[in-house]
Amino acid sequence: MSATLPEQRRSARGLWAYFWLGVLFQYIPLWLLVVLSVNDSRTLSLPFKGFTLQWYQRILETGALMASFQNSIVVALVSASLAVALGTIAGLAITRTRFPGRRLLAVATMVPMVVPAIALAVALLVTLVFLGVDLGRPTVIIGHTVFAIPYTALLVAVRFAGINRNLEEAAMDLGATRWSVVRRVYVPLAAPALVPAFLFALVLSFDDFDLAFFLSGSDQTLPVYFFSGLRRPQLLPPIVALQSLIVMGTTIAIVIWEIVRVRLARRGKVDVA
Amino acid sequence: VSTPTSQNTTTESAPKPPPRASARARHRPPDPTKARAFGFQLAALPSLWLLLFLVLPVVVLLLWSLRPPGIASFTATDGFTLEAFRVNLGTPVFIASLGRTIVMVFFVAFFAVALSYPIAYLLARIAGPRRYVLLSLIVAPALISYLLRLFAWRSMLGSGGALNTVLLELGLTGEPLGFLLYNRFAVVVVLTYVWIPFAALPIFARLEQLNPNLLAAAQDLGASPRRTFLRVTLPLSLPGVYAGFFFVFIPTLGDFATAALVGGADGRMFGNIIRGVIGTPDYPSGAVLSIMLFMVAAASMLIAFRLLRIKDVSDLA
Repeated sequence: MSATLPEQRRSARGLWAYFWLGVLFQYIPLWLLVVLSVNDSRTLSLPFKGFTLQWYQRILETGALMASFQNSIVVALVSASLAVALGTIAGLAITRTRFPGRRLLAVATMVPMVVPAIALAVALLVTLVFLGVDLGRPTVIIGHTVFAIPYTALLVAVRFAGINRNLEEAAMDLGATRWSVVRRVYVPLAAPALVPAFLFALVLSFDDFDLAFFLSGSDQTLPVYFFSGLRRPQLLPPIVALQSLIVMGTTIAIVIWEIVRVRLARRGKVDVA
Repeated sequence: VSTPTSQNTTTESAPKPPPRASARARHRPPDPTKARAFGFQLAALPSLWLLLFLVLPVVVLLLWSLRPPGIASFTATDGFTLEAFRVNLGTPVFIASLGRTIVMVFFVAFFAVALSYPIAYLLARIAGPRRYVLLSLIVAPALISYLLRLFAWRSMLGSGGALNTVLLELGLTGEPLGFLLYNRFAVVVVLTYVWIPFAALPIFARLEQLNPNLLAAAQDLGASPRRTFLRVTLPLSLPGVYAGFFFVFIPTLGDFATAALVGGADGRMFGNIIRGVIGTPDYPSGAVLSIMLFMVAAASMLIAFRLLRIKDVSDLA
């Protein structure tokens, strides 16, 4: 984009306007909910009747809401850890070794990504019923792990594919076993991909409704509890208050992360100079 | 010509990959048996997991689909039958719902891609070094809560919602507008809205990789910016467009929360039918309907592979 014509500048201005309108549209509904969460009204609707924090107080008093929040956190942390571990091993096996059945593993790893979540959820549900396993946190963890493995494997595999094979050979020439090559060469070099993979799996699990709806039994996760609250409006205000806290917390975390990132990048440039 | 189905039949006995340049530098000849054994060791754990929680469930789903409809315990009756297939495939409402769902989801994916393309283009080609910050700005709210965003839209569009309140206050309408919610139009609008940030991702990735020399060459040869876009940028970004389309299309096929929240009776999707049947509980029918959904997803996957010229899953990585 070296020589910009007036025509291009005009269309760029139009695109910028469109972009910011899009951003506005993505954020307005969330801000509206934050406003409603401090509205002194039982029905979560406009007009604004006055400021109150009572719904935030009610979060702590609503046992089922807190339990579902806790379920969501535990499920997200455990399933993201499992998905990263299994995805990393699968990604390594697929990109870095040759064995019969490698392609089959590659297909199986990617399948959950291209199956609608509800079909996977029903398949898991009827299997658990068939095996006589009770629904609860562990079954949601299983579902979320299967669901997240393609993404973690893909993110890590891309990273592994970029690692020079000479490193592996050098390590082995120096007497390292294959397992210590994995531990001492591959895992450290893949570390930068492990963090985003973990975060992605975490968000996928925390935000999932479809699988948790079928697999959580009485251990409802936050989205499932939210969904059941939609049929009983009196439950809604504290749920929306908690969701508002999550929205605000995430926003703050992202802003801090971006600031840190920009600072680090700048320092990097200064160091180079 | 290799067809997309060849991904499953690719043989392991195919010619070995050409020796890498580094192979010359090896001091010891590699031990293929050991290397293969190591591959098996690595693959064991993920394979076991996927076998237990992906392959086995699909097999059990097939078993359930061959049981008489209306049962919730596998051992409730004896024998295998095609009755569940006959009953469900013979229910016109279900078939019509599947067809309508495919059409709705097609429009969702189409609009999501069309509306996110300018965003992806701006970020990848014009925004410069700030593009990642701006991209996370637009993707971040999408990651927070899918249900919350649905609910927020319902709060905005409902008869007591923000939009109608504003319209009434301004005197633009005498009574609340009812057509904004509880029909299939509302479902398509809300799903499109939910998916726009995700649809932008593959398009962004593709446009970002575009070689700027090609654009410069087109301009040097006298092409107008408009022509450059239509003849160079757009065709080269098509793989990203297709990826974005199917990235939206396939997961949305099974969506049921959106229709439950903003769809009403008119907007019911196939996912709502599956949910209802499972809730009855009638697991053999639920299994049959899920298999139908699997088939639609698989068919669209084959189309996607053909469009994207993916012959092999290893192309994905």
